[in-house]
Amino acid sequence: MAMAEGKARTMSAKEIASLGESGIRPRPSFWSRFVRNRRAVVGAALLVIFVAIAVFAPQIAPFEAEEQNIVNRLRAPDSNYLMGTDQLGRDIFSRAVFATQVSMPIGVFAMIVAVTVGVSIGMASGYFGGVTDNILMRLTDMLLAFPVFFLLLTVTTLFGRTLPVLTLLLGLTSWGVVARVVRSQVLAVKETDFVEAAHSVGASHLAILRRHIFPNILPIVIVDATLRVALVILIEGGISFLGVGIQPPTPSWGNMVAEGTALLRRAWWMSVFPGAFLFLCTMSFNLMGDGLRDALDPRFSPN
Amino acid sequence: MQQYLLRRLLQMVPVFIGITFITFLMISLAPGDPVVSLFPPEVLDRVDLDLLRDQLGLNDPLPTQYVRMMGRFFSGELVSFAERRPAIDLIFARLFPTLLFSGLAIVCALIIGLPVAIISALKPYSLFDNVSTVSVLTGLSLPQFWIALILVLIFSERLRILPSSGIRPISASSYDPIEMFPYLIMPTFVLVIGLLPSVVRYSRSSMIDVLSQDYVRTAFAKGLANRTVWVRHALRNAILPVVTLVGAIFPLLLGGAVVVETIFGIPGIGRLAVRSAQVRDLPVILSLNIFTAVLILFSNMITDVLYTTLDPRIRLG
Amino acid sequence: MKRILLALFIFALILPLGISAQDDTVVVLWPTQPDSLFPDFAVTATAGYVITNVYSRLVAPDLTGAIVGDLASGWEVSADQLTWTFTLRDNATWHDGTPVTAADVKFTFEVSSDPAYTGGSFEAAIAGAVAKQSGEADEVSGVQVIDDHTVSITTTEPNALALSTIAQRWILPAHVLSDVPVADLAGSEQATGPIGTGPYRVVEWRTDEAIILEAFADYHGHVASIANYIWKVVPEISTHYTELVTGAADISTSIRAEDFESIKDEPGIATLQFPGVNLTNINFNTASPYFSDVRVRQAVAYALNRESMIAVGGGAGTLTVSQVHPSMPEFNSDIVPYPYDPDTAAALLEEAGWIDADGDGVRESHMVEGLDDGTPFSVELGTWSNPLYSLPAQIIQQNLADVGLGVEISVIDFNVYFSEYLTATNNPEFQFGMSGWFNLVLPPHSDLAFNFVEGSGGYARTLWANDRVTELLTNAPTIFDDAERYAAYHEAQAIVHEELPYLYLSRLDNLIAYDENLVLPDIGNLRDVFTSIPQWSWGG
Repeated sequence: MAMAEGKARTMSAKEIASLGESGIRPRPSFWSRFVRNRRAVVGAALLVIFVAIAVFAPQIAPFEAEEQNIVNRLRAPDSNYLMGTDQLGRDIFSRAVFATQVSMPIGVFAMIVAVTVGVSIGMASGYFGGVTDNILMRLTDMLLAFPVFFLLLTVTTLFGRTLPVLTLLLGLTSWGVVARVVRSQVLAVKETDFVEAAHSVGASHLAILRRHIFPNILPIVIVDATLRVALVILIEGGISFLGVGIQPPTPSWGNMVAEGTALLRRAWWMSVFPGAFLFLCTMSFNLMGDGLRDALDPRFSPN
Repeated sequence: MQQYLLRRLLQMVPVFIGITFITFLMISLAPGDPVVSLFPPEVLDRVDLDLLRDQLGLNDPLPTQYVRMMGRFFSGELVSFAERRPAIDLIFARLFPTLLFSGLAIVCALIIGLPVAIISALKPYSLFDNVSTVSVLTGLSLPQFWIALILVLIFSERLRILPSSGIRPISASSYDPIEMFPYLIMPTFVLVIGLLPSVVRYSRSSMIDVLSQDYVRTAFAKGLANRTVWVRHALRNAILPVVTLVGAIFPLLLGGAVVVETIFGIPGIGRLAVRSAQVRDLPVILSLNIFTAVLILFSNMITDVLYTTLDPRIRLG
Repeated sequence: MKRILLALFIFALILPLGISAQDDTVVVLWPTQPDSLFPDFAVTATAGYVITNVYSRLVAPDLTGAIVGDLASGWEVSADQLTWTFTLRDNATWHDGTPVTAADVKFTFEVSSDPAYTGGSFEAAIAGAVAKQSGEADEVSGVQVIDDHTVSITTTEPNALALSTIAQRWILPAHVLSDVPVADLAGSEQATGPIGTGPYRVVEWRTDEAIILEAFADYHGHVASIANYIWKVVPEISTHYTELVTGAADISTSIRAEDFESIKDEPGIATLQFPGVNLTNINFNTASPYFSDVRVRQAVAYALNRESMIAVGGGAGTLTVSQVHPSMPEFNSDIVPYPYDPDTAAALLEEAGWIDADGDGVRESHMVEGLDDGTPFSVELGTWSNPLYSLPAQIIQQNLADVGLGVEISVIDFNVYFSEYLTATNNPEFQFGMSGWFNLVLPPHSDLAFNFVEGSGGYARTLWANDRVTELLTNAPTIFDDAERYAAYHEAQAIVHEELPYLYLSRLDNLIAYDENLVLPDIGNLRDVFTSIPQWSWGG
């Protein structure tokens, strides 16, 4: 039972302090917890499938992503075109498969950039407080108010609209909310007894941040990270329509859904299928995230 | 507290100048040229573009332009390049619909999202939790414009029970809540769908976290009345990230929900923002940025003050 | 709370919704609102469709394109073809009841020649206009008030196009605006709540929502049959379809081509399809070593399957060979479009020195001027982010790859495209671009002169100049014989088609869907429905 387990692990400040650098979170059961969690397993399996799709796209896709066949334009799904064709007669299934190579890396790496920056700034800000907090948070305010479109326009004009440039840009412009949320958690955590205790035994800031603060903000970080993957993938689709995203004819899930929506009345398959890819991908990250979160939190165990 | 607030307000001044100056530099240095959008390409040879740049002050050094624009902004004389009317008037003319939908969306998202998150957190991996997780994530995986158009096709075109565009009947001369009601349903729904994933996922996670905290367990164990535990311990702490989230998102919503405004024909700030960015209408872009910046600064200040109310342990320094 | 419940209840009662068409109102859908209703300062094409019903001109084209009196009841031209004297109608009044006088006409031309004026309608051909603009004179000597109802306009030299130029000028109310400094005119109330002389007057402009107009009972011409005209702003064109079939609106010109077939089958909806004023084209940087050889440009013309581009655009367009609207007598109908013929394209490329020697599918240069031998043909095609252009651009890429020409597409922000990318003078890397043209006015002189007279605005887009074309277009306004003048335009178009600084792709159709009970007049030669709103009526 959760309650009993929790109670058993309740520790006094002294006990925590005595643990010192060795940490308060025993982890022997991480894998067993993770594997026992059905959500996590489903999520991980889906994710493996998506990685496989990205890696083996040329083998999986029956057509080239950019192969036009105008005679067969706007075909409804059939045995030849599993998910139908678009206005240029390109196979939606093949394009969605190849789009995995664009959208997954953008989503994942931009998320990593955003979360890394956001967590660092949020932790430093909340933990050190005072001038540090003021400077970092006012910086975050600036970011939240920044006209991102013009930044994208300028940087892509200078450095090109390549995958790494876009990934970095999308990551570096979306850490504002993470930073603020992490800071709020740190503000609460740093006042708890065990952090005070760690201070009193002279643990270094870095050690306290790593051993005592970080584990406590991890759940919310995981939630943000898993949501951000999908958000970034969608944003990429939006900006490609403003002329700052991935260039046509390269497909991404975002730009495929966006193109398809215009023809929703005439060709529903153009937006529904790439949308389904995106949905499954989002689900896999979120299910994984839930599992990861629970496996990392020793106090918690699902019924 | 008063001293803290005063200090925060004073801090806003340099931050405000920083935000607006960086924005101004960014939009001035970004590729593009405002005067090109002031005429149809077909008559460009008939006008002296450089003379026009001179008249608009675009040939002056950037710091001069910045100071002049800010000065004009505060005296209400910062005039849009494209529409040649004070930029602030253009914003105010669109303020009501934007405020209305932002407010409706946030309130509805919290009314729906928080209970869903709490029930999910109490019984993780129950059927309810699984269904709610999948449903809120659906809203995140499909772009707002797709969801919005599907709704229009179903409820306006097929079923004919909701109007497809606008904020009130075209014959209406005022904003009457009864007349407006059918026009509010779909846009609000789409905005709420966009907000729910964050609200539900954040609150669920922090609820689970808080419920497993020692002091909450202790409180339960001590046999404190459930209600007291809930209000005093669990909810107050679990809501911190949600308060932060809302504090960060609300100003952005007020900056305009472009997609929803476009598809449902709502005369809001988002459409103005996109249009002014496209034609490089610097005065309007800058005014909108000032508007958003002020909202963000105040919203974040209020959020910080709320922290101390919600969690008395938190000290603001 | 009670109010909300009541709202829910009432809402349940009034199902299904939709405003039924009222006999005295027509609701017209537009994706955008005008930027200004001050004619001199309005930039967007959509503004023109409101202005045309709110203001009047001295003379104006009728539905066939022939110029007839508007505010003027008659006019005569002096023997030297320099001075045009107009007699104003004595029944014309402004929307506020003030009579229209010669002073209004004079004021209109004074404003656009003022040094402080920032609009786009300065006309250098009027005597004294340049002197006033440069500050040498206080007024335009070429526009004279003779009496309250007589005004004369003098041009600097005989000009066959003078009348059609005057027919583009909307007359402004001197009694409203003469006290406003010229520099402040653009932001004056006239821009949002204009006083005009047209068949409809603006009652209310609801920002980004609608413009409410009502018929002007004292209009000097035919008083509009439909009393209320509502310009409804619906930015998403997919919902124009919904608005029409649910009866929330009566007419739209923005039906998506892919949806046009199915809206034809909707009960109660009638449709119209005809060549519109937008066309798509490619412009080459003729100074670029890749495209300086006319054979390469012609090879591109042969290589492109333009019919399939039209099909991909929903079939709503026609092949075109010129930027002149096909309904105009200036249009050269003898020009035969380049057929889709990849073999001829390949042969022309070989001739021009582009040969795929290494067999990798991309041709390399051999003795091509300005390029080292063996340079692969690899160029960037710029266009902007609108499916109207970005989709055909992808076909161009494919078609050119088929004949061994490598093309990368670059989709660019609209403003950047026009300010920095499009011209060889701004962008040394510019090779070719895909964009469009909008016939602001149908008489084609200004369009042709802009693009093909050496040194005028459009020259930088191609760096192409041809002495004969420059001569033809420069002299055309001085040819008073219509047939002879048309012949000059025909010849210029033929040379352009041969030399291909521009390759025209297709002229896009206007796709209009409307309530079948709405009776529209014959659309005539000008093919423009929205200038005829006063003649619309509800039948059935």
